[in-house]
Amino acid sequence: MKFNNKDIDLIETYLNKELGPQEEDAFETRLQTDSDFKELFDEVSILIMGIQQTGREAVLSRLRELDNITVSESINQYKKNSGLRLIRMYSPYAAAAIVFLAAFLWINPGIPLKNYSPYSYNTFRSSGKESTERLHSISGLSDYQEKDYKKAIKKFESIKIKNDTIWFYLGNAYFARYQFKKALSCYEQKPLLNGSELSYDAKWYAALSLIATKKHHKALDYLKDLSESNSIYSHEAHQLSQKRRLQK
Amino acid sequence: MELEKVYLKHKDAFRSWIVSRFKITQDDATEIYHQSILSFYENIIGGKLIKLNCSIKTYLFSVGKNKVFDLRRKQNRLMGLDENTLPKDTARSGSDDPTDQLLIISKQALLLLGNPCKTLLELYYYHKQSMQQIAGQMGYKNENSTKNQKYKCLNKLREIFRTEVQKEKIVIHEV
Repeated sequence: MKFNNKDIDLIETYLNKELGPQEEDAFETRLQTDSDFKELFDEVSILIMGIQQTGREAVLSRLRELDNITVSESINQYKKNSGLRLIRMYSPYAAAAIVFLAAFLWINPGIPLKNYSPYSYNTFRSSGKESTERLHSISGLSDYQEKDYKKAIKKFESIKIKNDTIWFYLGNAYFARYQFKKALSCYEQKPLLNGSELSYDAKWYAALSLIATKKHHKALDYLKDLSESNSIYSHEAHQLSQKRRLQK
Repeated sequence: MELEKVYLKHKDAFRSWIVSRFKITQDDATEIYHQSILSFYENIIGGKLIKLNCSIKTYLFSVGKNKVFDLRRKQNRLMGLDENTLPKDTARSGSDDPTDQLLIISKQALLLLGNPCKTLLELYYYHKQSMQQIAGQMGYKNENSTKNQKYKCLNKLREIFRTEVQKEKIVIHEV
């Protein structure tokens, strides 16, 4: 049953406490006498509450994402500072430390992937094609949230028509299991990279997956793109792109 | 996003201050900082904070201090309570509450609704953006077409919600 738009406006005005005393009385009387209106009011109130809570959770999730990025930055900074201090204090061991560092960098090109947490659950959209697909989307997402990435992968893979969000979370689940090539193939899906609201996130994780598979040249393309963007990844993408191992 | 800049700018100072001043854990300090930033944002978008008479840093520290007191009050209340003495209703798990269940379903319905409707509704009902701002951001022709789109999205959301509620067999008007 479709609602009357005026009733929606009226309910919103009431919920925002913007009705005058007489209008408010009339509204409350109508709630008591008009059962259809009462039903609409109850539904719309709970829907608005759900939307607001989802919005709040998305902001909090974004703040936690920022924490993840800055934590990895400070770990890198700490490693850099402590390395320099060691060289100054223990000059006889400096050469050995440099050799060790060089060997470490050769194995791991300056990007400690373990410091980059898999993307936390933020927003999720179902493909909405079929009800079973919807259920699989939600169920896969629950597994992803509980960090059961194996199960999440199975459920996301079983969805025939994947939208950009499913591709993204499937990529993240592979990323969390260090299956970087598979992760990359998800992140590089055209609808996800072009025009999706998750495109910056996808590019960032695509770059990390490429670094992990030693495809530095292509990773640099993504990092350059991100460092010139207005996204939250711009600063760290710039820093990462300056790493000498990546430049070679 | 400006909020992210504010978040990053004051994060370290806030957490160091709150940990040393109130002797709380780093995790609690981080959570309190998140909540303080959220309050700051919601007060701005809700029109409660129009002009600041102090710096953002002072404002955040003051909100954070109150959040620590709230946290302590909550912890003290919980420490003073014996589970056996709790009334049955309070001891029950939150998920048994029909309102909680409906709220969960409404959030699920929003996920199922998908974009662009989800974004539009969040921009309007949570971020309190005007129809004009939403039109500009989402590429709608004008305020009227955005408003019409909003009604359509809300109606669609309501339909999904009703279907999901029927599956769960919850009666809304008894809540």
